[in-house]
Amino acid sequence: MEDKSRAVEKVMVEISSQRLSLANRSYFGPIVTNMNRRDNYSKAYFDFCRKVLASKRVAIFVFEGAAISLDEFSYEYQPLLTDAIPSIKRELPRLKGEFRATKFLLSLVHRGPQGSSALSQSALPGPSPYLDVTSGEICAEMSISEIEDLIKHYATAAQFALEVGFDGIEIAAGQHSLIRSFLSPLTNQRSDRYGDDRGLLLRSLIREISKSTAGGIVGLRQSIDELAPWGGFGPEQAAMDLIALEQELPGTVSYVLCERGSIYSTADTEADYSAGSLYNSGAMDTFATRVAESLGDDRPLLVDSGGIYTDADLAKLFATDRDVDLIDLTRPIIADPHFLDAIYRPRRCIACNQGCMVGDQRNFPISCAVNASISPDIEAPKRFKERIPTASSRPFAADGPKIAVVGGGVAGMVAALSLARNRHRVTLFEEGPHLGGQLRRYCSTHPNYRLTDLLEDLVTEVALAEIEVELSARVDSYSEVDSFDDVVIATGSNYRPRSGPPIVDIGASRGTAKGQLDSMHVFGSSIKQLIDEGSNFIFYDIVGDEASRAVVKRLIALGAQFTYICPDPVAFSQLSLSNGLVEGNTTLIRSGAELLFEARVTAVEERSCVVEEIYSQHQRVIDFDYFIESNRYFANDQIFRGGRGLLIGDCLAPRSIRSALAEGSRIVEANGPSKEIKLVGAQR
Amino acid sequence: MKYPLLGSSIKLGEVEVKNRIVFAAHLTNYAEEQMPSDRHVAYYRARARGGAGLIITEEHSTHPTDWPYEKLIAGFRNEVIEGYRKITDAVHEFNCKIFAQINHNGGQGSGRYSGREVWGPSPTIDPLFKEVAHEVDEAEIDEIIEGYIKVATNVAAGGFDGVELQCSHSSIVRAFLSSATNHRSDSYGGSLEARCHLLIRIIEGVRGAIGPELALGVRLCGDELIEGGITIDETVEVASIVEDTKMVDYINTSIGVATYSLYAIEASMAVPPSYSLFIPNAIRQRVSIPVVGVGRFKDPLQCEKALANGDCDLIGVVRGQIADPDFARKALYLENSDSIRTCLSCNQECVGRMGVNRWLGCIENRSAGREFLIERGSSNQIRSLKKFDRRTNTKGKVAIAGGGPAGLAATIALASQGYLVAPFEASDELGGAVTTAAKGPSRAEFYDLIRNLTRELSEVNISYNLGTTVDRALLEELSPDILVVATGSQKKKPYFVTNYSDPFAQIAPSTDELRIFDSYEGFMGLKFVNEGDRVVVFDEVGFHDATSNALFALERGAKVTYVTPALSPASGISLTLDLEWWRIKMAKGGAEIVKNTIITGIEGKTISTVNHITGAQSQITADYLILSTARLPECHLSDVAEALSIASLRIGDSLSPRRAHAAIIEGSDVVREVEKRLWKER
Repeated sequence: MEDKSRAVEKVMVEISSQRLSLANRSYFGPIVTNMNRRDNYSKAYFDFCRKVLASKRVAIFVFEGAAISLDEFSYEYQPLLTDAIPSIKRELPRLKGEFRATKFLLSLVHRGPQGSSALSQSALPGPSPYLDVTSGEICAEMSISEIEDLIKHYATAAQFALEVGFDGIEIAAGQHSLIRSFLSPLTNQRSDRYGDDRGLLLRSLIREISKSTAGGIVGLRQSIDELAPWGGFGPEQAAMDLIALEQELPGTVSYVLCERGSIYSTADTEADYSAGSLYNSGAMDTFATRVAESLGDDRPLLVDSGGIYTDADLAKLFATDRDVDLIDLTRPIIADPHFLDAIYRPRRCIACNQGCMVGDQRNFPISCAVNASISPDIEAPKRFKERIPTASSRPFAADGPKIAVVGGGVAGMVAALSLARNRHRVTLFEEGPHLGGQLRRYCSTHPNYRLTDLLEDLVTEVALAEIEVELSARVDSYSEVDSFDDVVIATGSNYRPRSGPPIVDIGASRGTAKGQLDSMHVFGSSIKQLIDEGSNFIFYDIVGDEASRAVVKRLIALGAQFTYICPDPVAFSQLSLSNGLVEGNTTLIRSGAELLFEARVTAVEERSCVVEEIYSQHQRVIDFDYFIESNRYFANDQIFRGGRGLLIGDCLAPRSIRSALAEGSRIVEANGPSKEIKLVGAQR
Repeated sequence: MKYPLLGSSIKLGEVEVKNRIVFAAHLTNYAEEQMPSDRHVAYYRARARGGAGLIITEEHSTHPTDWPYEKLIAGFRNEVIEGYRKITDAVHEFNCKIFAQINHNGGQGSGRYSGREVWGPSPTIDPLFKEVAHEVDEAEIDEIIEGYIKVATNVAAGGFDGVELQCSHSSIVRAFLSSATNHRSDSYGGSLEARCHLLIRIIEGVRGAIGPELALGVRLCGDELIEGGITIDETVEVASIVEDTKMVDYINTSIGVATYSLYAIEASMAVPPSYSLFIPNAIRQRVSIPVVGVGRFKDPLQCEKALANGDCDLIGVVRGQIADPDFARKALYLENSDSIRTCLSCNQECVGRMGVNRWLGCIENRSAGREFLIERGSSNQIRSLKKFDRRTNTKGKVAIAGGGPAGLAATIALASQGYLVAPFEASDELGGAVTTAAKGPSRAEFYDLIRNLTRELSEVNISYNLGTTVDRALLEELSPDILVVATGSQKKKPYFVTNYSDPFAQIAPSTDELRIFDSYEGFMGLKFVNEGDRVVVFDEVGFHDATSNALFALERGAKVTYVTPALSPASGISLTLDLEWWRIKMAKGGAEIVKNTIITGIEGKTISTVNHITGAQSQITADYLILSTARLPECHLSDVAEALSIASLRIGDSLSPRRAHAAIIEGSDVVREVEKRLWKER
């Protein structure tokens, strides 16, 4: 029997310090949702708040940041505090009433040089004129009077926040902040007092704010490592800035959330799984030690942040010898809002960043790859609405409609769970001996080891739910599932090689032909033998998504000799939002693999292919032993298309886990108004 | 009438259009929550008031699976009708006709907004969105057609005069028409007739929905510019099949596919005007219904010529009317076509903002996309002005230093508001950094920005004091109430450079000297460049500054190496659709592109570099080094003014070095700022 106690129990410990009394150590940060509008915090956003606060246990909940002044307009759906006040006044009291254990804070934001002049239509203010590498823009040096205005704006904003009912505020001084650009020697080259003393702005601002926030919580989000060792500040300097602040204004800051990153490392602040567990720990150790040495026990509480996704990560964190005050659990709570229920086994965050990172100009609303219910409701496909018989009038499963789900991959499992939890009688047919579909094929060697968590979570949930599972049960026609009221088809996708070159049968005995290789075989163990033989691989990647990066990382990890060919100017273009693009490209470039960007494969022969450089149209022939492509998976829908079944997941169109999971979940929401759902997992 | 053909009316089915100038369909990103907005109303109203004969609105989506970009109008929702009404009423007030374009983008989209799979004829992957389409079955094809009918019904109820079916650059109909994306073997794929099957069914359905009174048009792609795609011969056949239905009143045309060959659709100034006229010309030879031609039409003479040549029957003038909403009125009714503010085809604020989900604007026309704010008499900007209203009678004396776009725009704005202005330019010509930028290869049309401003300047009867540097003595003498500093930017020496070379030097460089120039001085500094000389362009900014210099050297036979710290070269010119052309020219000229690389030092002719990802060091030997690096504002006059207790205001690059649009904004809005400063002063 596994040990059922969870590390999260250690989070659920009351905090009572001079500065802050809290129900426990949990913290939910000001995540960008794109659900709000410039002039209001929307109903969709308050719904989101209610969803993630469902456990009623979150100790600190920080609202998505509000722009403190008109000239701060960093993303289109960033609320402007002064305009959004009516919407807060309307909804916040209700929210506070519903979640009494939670302290509600408002994040106050000015991004300065990291904002968007395309939206603000004016020059971006900054400490000194410098070129922002992300925006390509040079900011305007703020005059003293503009700095004084900024301080006033901050103070007024803080006062507004408390007046409308927030328990406090959080000052954005970390990644993406004007304040950090003043703190940093990289970007602050002023010769006046705000340059001689780079912490002056922060201190002046907090002095001003503290005048109007008596009794309120004042949190500070601080970058403790700019990850720019050649010129930026590190944890030592960050600690000194905080200590100077404490010495000048003792007791004003309640807590400090410690994050990392600056202009040259925007993708490292909210890194994905590739940064590993507790990726902020090193800087945090130094920072916390310095702060404790100087300030002793009477110090702001520190919030650990970065790389804490699951209970296992928490256990690791508690095993360190650092004093842990508060923990940023934003992402695990999005993945499962009942994360904080200690007796419950939550569905785990897989640190993929595929849904929760939405901070670019495309304005995608926030979602979660493993928890589809976080997204705003999406209108159901027409055929879903018409076809799935409703169970709403039938209180007991025994009477519920009988549904066959064909295919036990992610989409099929999630669909079966949604149906069963909504009182349908579900039979899940899987042709193989195990559930898990495609995910089972690659998760154990995928660079994101957390995918095995997802497989385990889904399989366990299916086992605990009232679902009849038929393994090794292949369904070949609709007639075999005739007796069911309806049929859901989730048969996934199939490898379909291109015509021409021989197809490698990797399972065959030695001496199999060389030629084109199923990309999924890269995750198997037999590939090692091919690599050991010194084979040359080509990976032709026209997709550039998470799966592509995984193939590349696996090839690198196994020491394969390969050529990477891609029609785009950079690899992994689909990972820009999830902060994987830079990491992926860096890994690829450093691997020493031959790289052919902006090139396409125009013909593939038995052991060679023709590659054309797009702009010069120069062609060359490249030999290979094994040719791998990123987009040879096609919907496995031949038997079922056009029939009575509802197609979901990859057999509808091959996409990501996020899509499979969302479609599986939505199958019931499609079926009428959402119902009270009993949490199956709570029985565990 | 100067342009009799352009000014003549034409019938599209039962709909009479008063002239041949069409404001053809284009994305605006003005929709709010997928509904038409006040911004649309005011935007289209301005072009109708400006004399356009026909407006075709941006596309209206026909189905929930079609949501490729956020601000797409969901035409299939009934709530759109109210917004449609507002738009059509506004346009009809000026005897302008308005059609709605309706579309399903098919596989050229993503499921990120819709939460749905994308639909297509065959499971192909789109090169931009990278999603594999779901191969639609018969029932889904019926659903698509129902969607078109639904939207056509909404459009008719919303007061439109006609419907245009988008079957070109981004459309599921195009995907069905093209062998490149349609691999079906049922009645919707295979022969050309079969590939037209969906289109014909949609035409029948839509015509049934809108009745005989409304016009119905079809927009076809003349050349997809992709391997195995549609070419002009096939398009002519399709046009003929379309005409044979006897249900279609006109054909519109385009070139390229939005996600494969976007650079061709809304070509930048690097492509000659009228570049896609061969398409309507070929179609017109085959069909008898009217045909619309498009492609960088920016002046009425060019339009008239195309009509006279028989290339087409109507002309799509899109960017031309974004830049100047009164294009048609000035050309046809005021007979004052010289006063048209011509489009530059710079693509910076129109096309360039579409790809990044921002509302459509215009580098030259500060009001484009903001017409609704002006109509309301309130904007963020104007809102803050209110408190100064009582001061507006108090006009002051304003000196303007600098005759670039910011200074020019400021002078025009102030003069037209009744201020006494004294504008100065240190050099002998107006234009500032724009004049330099326009000297780059294929960049000459950028100078139209200055030409247009100069004309506006003459309209307010102001002339610049050229060759006059503003200094302390001059300021003391003038004693203005306020000084507007629009003196542009200055170079900032990177740490690896000891000294710049003299761009004005009139002797060829010696053989052992590396000549180093800032990109703004590159064209001057490269005047002695010879065939075979080695030129390194180092680009931290990623915009035309660097790319123009690289081409300039390349065209003179130099061996060019372009070095950038970025992961991909010149990303700034990608949104303006210049990147493709630049890369092709660079590749043809044998230029080398080095990415992820910074310069660490210079020794004689040797430039040392390091790849900041791998740490690999290398050296490049060169005769010239052109630097496109961060610049600094040139604003010392502010200090001079302060010493004299004269209020000053920095605008454009002298506030912070940016693109020309910032100069135009800050120049145009200067009145508000001047009011503010004068108010503070008193």
